[in-house]
Amino acid sequence: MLLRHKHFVVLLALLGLGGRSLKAQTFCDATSPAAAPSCSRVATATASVAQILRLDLSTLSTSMRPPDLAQFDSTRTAGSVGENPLTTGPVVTVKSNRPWDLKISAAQPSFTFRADAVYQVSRSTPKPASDLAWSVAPNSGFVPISASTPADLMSSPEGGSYTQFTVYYRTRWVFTSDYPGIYELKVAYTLTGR
Amino acid sequence: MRYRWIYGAAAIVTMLSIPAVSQAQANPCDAYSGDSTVTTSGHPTCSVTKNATATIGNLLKLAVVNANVDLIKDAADTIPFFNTWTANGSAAGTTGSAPATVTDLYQAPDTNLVIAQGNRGFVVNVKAQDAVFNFDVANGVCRKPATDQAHCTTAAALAGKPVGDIFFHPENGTNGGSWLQLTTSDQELFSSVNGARFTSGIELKSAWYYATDIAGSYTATLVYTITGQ
Repeated sequence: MLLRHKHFVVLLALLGLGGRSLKAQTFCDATSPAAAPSCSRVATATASVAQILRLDLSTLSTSMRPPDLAQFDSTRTAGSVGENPLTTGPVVTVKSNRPWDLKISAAQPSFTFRADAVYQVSRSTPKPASDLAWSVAPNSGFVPISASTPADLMSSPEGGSYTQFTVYYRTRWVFTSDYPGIYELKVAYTLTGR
Repeated sequence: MRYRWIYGAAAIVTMLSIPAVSQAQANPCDAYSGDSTVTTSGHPTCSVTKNATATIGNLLKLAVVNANVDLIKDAADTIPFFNTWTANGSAAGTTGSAPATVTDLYQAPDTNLVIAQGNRGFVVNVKAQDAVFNFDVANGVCRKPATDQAHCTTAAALAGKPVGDIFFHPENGTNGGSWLQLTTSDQELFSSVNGARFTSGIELKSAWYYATDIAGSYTATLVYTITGQ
């Protein structure tokens, strides 16, 4: 019984001492020098910052501009990718506090196709994904998209950044094979921190 | 027999001392010297003057309540970064330089509460203890003054985050509502000419830059000082 009391007293003493030493003093008294007494207290301002890698697409669905007659005429062939119909794609925003790479690729090797409800003619071969070309400028730099090799769309090798830009598409349409219907291609944007 | 004589002598001595005691009670102020007054006409009165003295020193007390504040509420929040982008006119900006519109910066959810008490004039100042934040590296990445930089190339080792990325504003202060950039030199928060009890929350805003403010824990030490004047 006496031993138990001793333990209790020791525990109380430890708690008292511990509490006193752990409790930070919030105030100070300025006592000297008499002419201009001074004392200081410190405070800390802390911020925990996480890895920030954010990719925003202004839209997840873009309607491709259909070819007009001049662009989809049997007598005419586009001289370059830049002559194919232009579609303004999503506005891409990357927010990151570390270096990053953004790649673009086709999520599938070919367009999906749903035949026109009236005409009802199916394609014999799928429309390849590479018929869609992308660029970050509307009039230059278009590159056919690949499902097997993601292309470098944008990067920030030296550090994080806030970057915003628009992606443009130009799609090649071939008179002999692109039958009436709805064509759809999934485009993958992949942001990776370095 | 001998004891009987002793008791008799003690009784005589006691009887002789009684008139002396009565004489002292007739003039109660006799026991005092100096500031005593005795009035004998009418009702006798005795007045005694005593000084009540207190020695008061310089009383200057400074308290900082809620001394440890978080600059960012949520570690994964991108708003502090985006607000800095906005404050710099939708541009990257430069760490350590004041953005164009400091008011757009992210404001810390909590404030330091500074209490000053003095029986003489005083001024309360604030400064940063060091020129850069202490950086607690999260993933061994390269930023000063973290010590784990052995694997970092010179180019990869980012400079320390300057404390000038913090801006402060006393809710009840001298500067009339302006946001001031924190430096390592004292800047006045508030003052009193004749002494007073003064309380003010100290609001903090901070700038966070995508290019340099990598993941980790950043800590700045603020020094509040009260000085008599």
